[in-house]
Amino acid sequence: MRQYGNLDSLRLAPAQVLFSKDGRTGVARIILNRPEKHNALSVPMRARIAELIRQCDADEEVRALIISGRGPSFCSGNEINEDWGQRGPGYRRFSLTTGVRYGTDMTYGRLGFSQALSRSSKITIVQMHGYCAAAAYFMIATKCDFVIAAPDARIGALEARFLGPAGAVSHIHLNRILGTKAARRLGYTAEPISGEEALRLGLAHRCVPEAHLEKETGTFAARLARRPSGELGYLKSRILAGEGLLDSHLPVMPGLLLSHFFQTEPDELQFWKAVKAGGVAGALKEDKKRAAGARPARAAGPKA
Amino acid sequence: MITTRTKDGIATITLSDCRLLTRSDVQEGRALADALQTAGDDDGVRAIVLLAQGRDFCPPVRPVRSQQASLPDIQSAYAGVTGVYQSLAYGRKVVVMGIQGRCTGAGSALALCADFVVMGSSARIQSPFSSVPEASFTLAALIMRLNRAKGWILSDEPMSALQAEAAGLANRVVPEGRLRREALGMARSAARMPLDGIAISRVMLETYLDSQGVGKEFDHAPFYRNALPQAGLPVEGRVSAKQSQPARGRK
Repeated sequence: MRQYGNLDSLRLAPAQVLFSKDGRTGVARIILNRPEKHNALSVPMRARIAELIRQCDADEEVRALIISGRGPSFCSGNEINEDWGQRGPGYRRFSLTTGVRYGTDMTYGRLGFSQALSRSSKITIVQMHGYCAAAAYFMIATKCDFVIAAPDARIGALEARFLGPAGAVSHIHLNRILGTKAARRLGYTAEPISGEEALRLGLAHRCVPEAHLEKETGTFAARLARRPSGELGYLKSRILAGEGLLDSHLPVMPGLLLSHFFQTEPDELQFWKAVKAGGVAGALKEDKKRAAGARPARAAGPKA
Repeated sequence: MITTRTKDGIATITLSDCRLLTRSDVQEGRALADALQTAGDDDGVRAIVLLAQGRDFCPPVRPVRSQQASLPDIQSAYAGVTGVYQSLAYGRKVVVMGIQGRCTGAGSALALCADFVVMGSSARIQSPFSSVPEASFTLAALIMRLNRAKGWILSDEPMSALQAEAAGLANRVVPEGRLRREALGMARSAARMPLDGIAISRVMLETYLDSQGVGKEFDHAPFYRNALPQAGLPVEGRVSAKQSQPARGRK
């Protein structure tokens, strides 16, 4: 199967997405390990996550799967400054193959990594701290069964500040979790919510101080994993069937694609110029200087 | 046993042992469905209160294999269009349920279908999905939002009355001693409404619920019931020498 990415991102992905399994407790862990980029997900990292979920689904020992991130943040979303073979030499546009590959991930397509999470037969749990932004919010956190968040986690569609339309606002699944008003607030302001607010809104199942987050999440997962596997499998099937009836996993085509191809506001164009000049971190820093920029306290990136 | 008492336009249906419903007792299921439909068809009844005797509305069931009912009989009594759960979810009259103590299995499945739920302050409500295949996940998700419903089901953690109220499953939490009075009070509020308005609203609500997959999920209940033995879960009421293999109860 064709692997998308460049030489570096393909080589680094196994070390950037770590995996461990405790056969005794039945709990497996996927650990994002790209702390210098707030665990931004490259295309090979996303492919590896999908592959690890497939492995867990086939492993009878695994009953619960925790996804967490090392460093200051859980995950800042998809890597947006990445060459992963989307354009051939001298081409300005995506090829058909790479366009479909990209669109599949971005629109909750059946073969995308987000669907691997939402369709997993195992209990999936996000251990969330720091930033949980963009795809990490609408393609991981909202797609797992449980979110256990630190109180000061910063969760939301922060990408909407730069990518124009917040396509995830129209995703049925997200609206079913947060309620439509809150979903719109996150999408239309790009302001994050805290772990405590995520608990109030129904996104998070628990809110746990960051110092205890890993241990409590592990204990919670191990307790769930003690339930008989047949019972868990049955309940997961009921939930998947019910979500099907609710149409909650319908792919969202227009919003997310539009957000990538129609950017007309000067701020957005400036952002991308700054990305080219100084990377994403430099562009974020530049954006904060503008009056229309996101609130410095909330968009300042991770704590030092 | 199920008793119905009607006074001042309010029909109060009282279950003597809700565990029979969790066990999919066909006679009990038919009796409750009949009581709900009879009250629904009675022009003198403007609202219904559903209560249960005892300290707990519906305590956990110890698995037994006492039933000799066929799957179609159970389907007809519980999941079918004239069964317990659809009679409640799609009935003509507003139903207020008063919950005290522990509420598990069928009690919780009923709570998902009832219009209003009043809980005693020490009541706790547990997910019905491991024991009641007719329990509606779509209703749970619509009532308390998707992740809360999933968390309730997968964690198997009972919700306290206050948690149920915060999640939207309970309308009111009251001291246990005032439960019956509050349930009747809510029913009276509904009874004061124009009956034609309520009836038409409920027909329109049915359209909404069906557009969200609620009706389809009831149609799928026999499939879920058939999946229970494979999951190693108790299947009371499932046994029929003619129509199915012997059920495997939880050991």
